[in-house]
Amino acid sequence: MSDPTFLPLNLKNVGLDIGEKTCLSDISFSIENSGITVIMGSNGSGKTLLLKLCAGLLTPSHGSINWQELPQPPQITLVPPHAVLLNRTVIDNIQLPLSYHRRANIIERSRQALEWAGISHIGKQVATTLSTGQQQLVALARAWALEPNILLLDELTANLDPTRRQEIDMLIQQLSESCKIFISTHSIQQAKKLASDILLLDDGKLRIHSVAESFFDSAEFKRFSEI
Amino acid sequence: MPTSTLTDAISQAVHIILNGDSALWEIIALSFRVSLSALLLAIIIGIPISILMVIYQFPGRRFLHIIVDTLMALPPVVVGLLVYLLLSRNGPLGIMGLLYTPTAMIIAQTALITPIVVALSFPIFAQNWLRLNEQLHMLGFKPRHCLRILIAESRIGLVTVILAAFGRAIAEIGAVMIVGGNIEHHTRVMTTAIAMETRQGNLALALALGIVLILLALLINTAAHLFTMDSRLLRKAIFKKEGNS
Repeated sequence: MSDPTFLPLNLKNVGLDIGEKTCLSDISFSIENSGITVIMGSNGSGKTLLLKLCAGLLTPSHGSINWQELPQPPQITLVPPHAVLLNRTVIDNIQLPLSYHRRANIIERSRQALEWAGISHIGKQVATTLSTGQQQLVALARAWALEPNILLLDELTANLDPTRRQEIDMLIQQLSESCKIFISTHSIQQAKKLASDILLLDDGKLRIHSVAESFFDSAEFKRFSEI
Repeated sequence: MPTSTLTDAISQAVHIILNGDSALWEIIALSFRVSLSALLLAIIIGIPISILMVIYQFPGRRFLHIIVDTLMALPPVVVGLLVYLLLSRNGPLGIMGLLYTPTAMIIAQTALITPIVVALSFPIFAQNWLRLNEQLHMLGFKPRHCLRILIAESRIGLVTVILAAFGRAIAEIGAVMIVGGNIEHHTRVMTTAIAMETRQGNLALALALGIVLILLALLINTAAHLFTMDSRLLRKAIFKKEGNS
């Protein structure tokens, strides 16, 4: 895996307008630690948009993100809530991006990725015919194989049963040892389990950026969990 | 038509088909040559236009949509007339001497089915692009790779589009009659031959060609139906079978 040393992420007064609607406004934070940053907030608070901004899929209407200013931006991978897989076998889905990136030992790497995610037995199945949980595991294995510096996970386990969720949480924890992870979730339980720090969004604004332990004792968290 | 005439015509038509009448097969071969050439050209022209319309937001994109939709609804005789005016001796391309040749028929059919290829493939590409665009970008694919993947992911839907366009081309009569002239051994295709043989009372040959066209339509629709069947279910069934065996 890549160097676990995390390139700091600085957002300065970032805002995003879509049409005439302001979806995100005045978001500023700086994250310098590795580990897992959990983004929380109710539906429509702007979690997905923030992840897409960090991924470079959207350009901020205002403000700046330091990654965009770098001559060599970090390798970022975003896994959406519903895994987007090609209508090919699981192994093809993992090998294809590796081959386009001209990585060495593609076959070995993809085999390791399947083993890591515990899905070696479905390697030859067509990815789009799998269950939602299995598809998410394939997406995670594909991300793992690409060795990103930063992994963005958008409500990855939202549609999964508790057993599968636990399985994926364990994989995320393993991944966090080798790359920086940002994950958006509605699950307080998952946030408590994974987070090293928390970003709480509300109506397109950043309400809190806090270390996980102090966040869960705060009055803001109590208010949020009541909602 | 009296029943005996109809049954006679059918039995003679079947006889003509089974005995490989040379006139019949010549007409069928030309029909296929013209329509398959037109189909190939329509794919070469239409698919890139459709992909461009999906991927790029350019000025006049909506207008192009309206033009394509309008062309799709254009009556074949009007297309034939326009191609005729283009290729006639006094037309801008008259010097090429293409009127009343299979090439003129290919041009007419291409003009007729290219809008079909564009209009029908557009939603297929659009749907897949919407699904894949961000993820392919995130996985680091370059634009040319994205294009290749988009086409590969759209292949099942595209087969249906191609079959529909071919069906339209081979069953078309108005345009090829105007620009081809229905000349024996030169530009006579199935549809123009059916019209002429019926007019002349040669019902057996007309019916034989009609049967071939109906069988072709059946074949095309069966193929389209098989391709549009839920491939996921099909694959699941196959894997289940493999798992059991």
